[in-house]
Amino acid sequence: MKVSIKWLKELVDLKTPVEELVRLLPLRTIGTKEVTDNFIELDMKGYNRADLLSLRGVALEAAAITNSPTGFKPAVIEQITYDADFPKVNISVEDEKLCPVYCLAKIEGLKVKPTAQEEVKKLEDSGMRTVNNVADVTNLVMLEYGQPMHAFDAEKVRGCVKVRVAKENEKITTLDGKIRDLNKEDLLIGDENEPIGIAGVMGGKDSEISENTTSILLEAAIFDPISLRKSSLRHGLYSEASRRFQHGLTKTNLLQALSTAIKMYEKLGGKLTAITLTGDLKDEVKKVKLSQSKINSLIGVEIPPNEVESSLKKLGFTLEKEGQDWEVTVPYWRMDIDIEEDLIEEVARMYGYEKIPPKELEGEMPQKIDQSFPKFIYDLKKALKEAGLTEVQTYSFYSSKTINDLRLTIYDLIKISNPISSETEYMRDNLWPNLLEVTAINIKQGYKDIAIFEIGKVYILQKGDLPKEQYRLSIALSNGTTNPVEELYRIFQGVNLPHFQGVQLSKSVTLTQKEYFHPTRFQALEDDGQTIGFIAEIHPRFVNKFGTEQRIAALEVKLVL
Amino acid sequence: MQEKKLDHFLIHYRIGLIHPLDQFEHEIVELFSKIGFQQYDAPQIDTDDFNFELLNIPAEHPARDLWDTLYIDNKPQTTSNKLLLRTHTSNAQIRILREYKPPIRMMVLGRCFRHENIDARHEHTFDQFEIVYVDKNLSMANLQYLSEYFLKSVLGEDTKVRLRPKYYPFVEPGVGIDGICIFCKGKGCKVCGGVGWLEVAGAGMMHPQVLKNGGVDPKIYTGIAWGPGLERILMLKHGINDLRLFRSGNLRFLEKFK
Repeated sequence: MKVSIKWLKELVDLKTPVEELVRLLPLRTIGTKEVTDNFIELDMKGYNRADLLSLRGVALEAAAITNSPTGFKPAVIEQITYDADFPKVNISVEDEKLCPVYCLAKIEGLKVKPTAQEEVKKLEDSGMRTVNNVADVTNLVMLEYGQPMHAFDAEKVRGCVKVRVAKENEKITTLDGKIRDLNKEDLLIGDENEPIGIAGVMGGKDSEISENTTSILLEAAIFDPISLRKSSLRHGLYSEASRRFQHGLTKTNLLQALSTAIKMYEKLGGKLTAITLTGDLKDEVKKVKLSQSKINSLIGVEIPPNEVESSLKKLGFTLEKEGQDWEVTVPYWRMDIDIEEDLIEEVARMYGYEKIPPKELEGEMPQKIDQSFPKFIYDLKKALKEAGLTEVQTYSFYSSKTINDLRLTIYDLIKISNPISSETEYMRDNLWPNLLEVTAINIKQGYKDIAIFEIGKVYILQKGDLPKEQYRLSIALSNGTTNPVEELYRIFQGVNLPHFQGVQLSKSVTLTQKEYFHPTRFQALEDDGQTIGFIAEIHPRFVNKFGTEQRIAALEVKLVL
Repeated sequence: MQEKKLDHFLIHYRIGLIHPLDQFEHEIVELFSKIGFQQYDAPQIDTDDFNFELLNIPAEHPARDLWDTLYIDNKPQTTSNKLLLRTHTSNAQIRILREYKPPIRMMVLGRCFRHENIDARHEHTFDQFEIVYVDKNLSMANLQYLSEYFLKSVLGEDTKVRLRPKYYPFVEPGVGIDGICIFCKGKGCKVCGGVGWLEVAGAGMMHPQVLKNGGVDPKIYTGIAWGPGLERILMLKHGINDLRLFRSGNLRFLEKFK
């Protein structure tokens, strides 16, 4: 959310310099991404404060944290709650769950022109561009109130406006000129004949405001955030409007925004000639209990009751005292507040997280659990380091090169359904192929003697709830000799840990990976009659594919069965 | 190869190394072991439930934008839940709460994954460390203590720590933890973007719904979840400018730590 500083100052009578507001925002409210002379960009990614997606919401917050009064009054909304005999626009809403509120106002007598310079600046500081005076009203109002709006050219819309689910194979050309295939999960706005917009995501090209437009249908609605998010992701359309729909909207804001937009159109010479509002237009009033002792115990600081009250009042909450505690009424715009802990966060941030003193941990120690495995892993790393080996980490995936050059059977591997690229499509079920790749790369960099190891998880398909994850050790050695297996075995023998005491070489076992090994230089490693791994020279045929002639030996063992 | 006798003359002399990330992780584990925390290992391939849903992050919630996720294609037939590569070590939280009774002092360490195009500052694979601490009467003051305990040990005794509000759906209140910029000592420089502070960890008081989902009564117990970004701190400490180096196997990079 890019907050225009000039615009913000119209809404808050800032009692501190802007620099102080910029300093306080991350300490009291939300992180900032970028600050310039013209705007402050709030880091809204994933945030739950829908109210901060509007200038008025930001103004209320800025006023609270800088002890300043707001410079605006709530917009008067009587104007649109017209008496029953005012003309209506013909609309129908198929499913109230998907579209709890739908308002459409017809405004006639407009003339499309460029927008006034002052308002163009507001749009630009907010990161939006101007289109024309008629379309810009919807964006200016959205920025101020957080309520997205859309204006259809009324002459391009035939008959009843329907909010409905798309039919299979229906298509629409959106404002960006792209033809979009719709399906039964898309909520759309249609007229008698065809779709005129994907609800809350993007309007249709055919009903776009053009320079000849004189009358519009102005839409203000609340759509189901979940279905809208799905549509938005599926079509890859992530607009300022769809973002606000997803974070959630309030009915009070919607009515204020609609009322303001109508007034702005009247200033442009337009006239409201018909309006229809559907759905329940009252916001639910939330009340949450707040206890003084819980505030003190969760924050770890004694916060006096008058400070609790003044902090919350500044943020628009109203409080009713009940003994030591309160019943707190949540202002309609704070959709993120549901439970007592939410209120305690409000008190804590107004107090200042940075002022909370450290308190040492008390209380009894928990019962001891078995820590022998992580200890063994670290002991093993130390022993391998002492043996002169360098620990590396490689990805949990096989690179496409490794898969191709080793002709790995991909059907046996765990597959990612949405890989970033072919480099993250298949998960490793052994460590040594990645060590082979790394060894070859380092040889090509000029290293003649390489002794590396990795300890990490491999991932194996199995029946059951989750795939098997198994800790393994793998070592790769390329020492410039014609038979590096000999030294590798001596290194492994030298790792004097009780865990490997019973490990023996075994010739009797047929190794499934034999095809990758030198025809004679391979053996299984056994512990207590069970195969736990192998030691081998990688077949030069495969090593060559990684671009080196140098001999490479590898070892791999399971660290748990 | 059959010969079992160890013959040192046939082993080359080399200087070995534990990977800098693993060495750093070991130091952190030691540090928190001293105050009673024990290691817990959670799966890296996990269900949507453990990674998201039970942590108060429902499907299609805008908060999911915080975690671009890699999903598993060929999941076992027996599970109805979506499988994914865990996006954070917080997938251990519910497992820990269900397996152990409070007081709990657990630490989780390991690989996490995101759907992210890689460059010098972005990785799809990274390590996280996380503390799950549940007891009676825990407070944000304890959280401040843990943050100072960690950062002073890792970045030096004169390090300053600052808490500020941050939103994560599985904690309330939510906390972001800044350490004073180690380059400019708070004056403001290029590394810290002029603010004098660097974000080093995320944390918060465990959300009552998460405690409930784990079978712990939030009326009796409170919890702290706390975790730093390991690679980032190491990069700052050692002036490493490319995140990809950690998992490149590049010996020229690793040798600098010998």
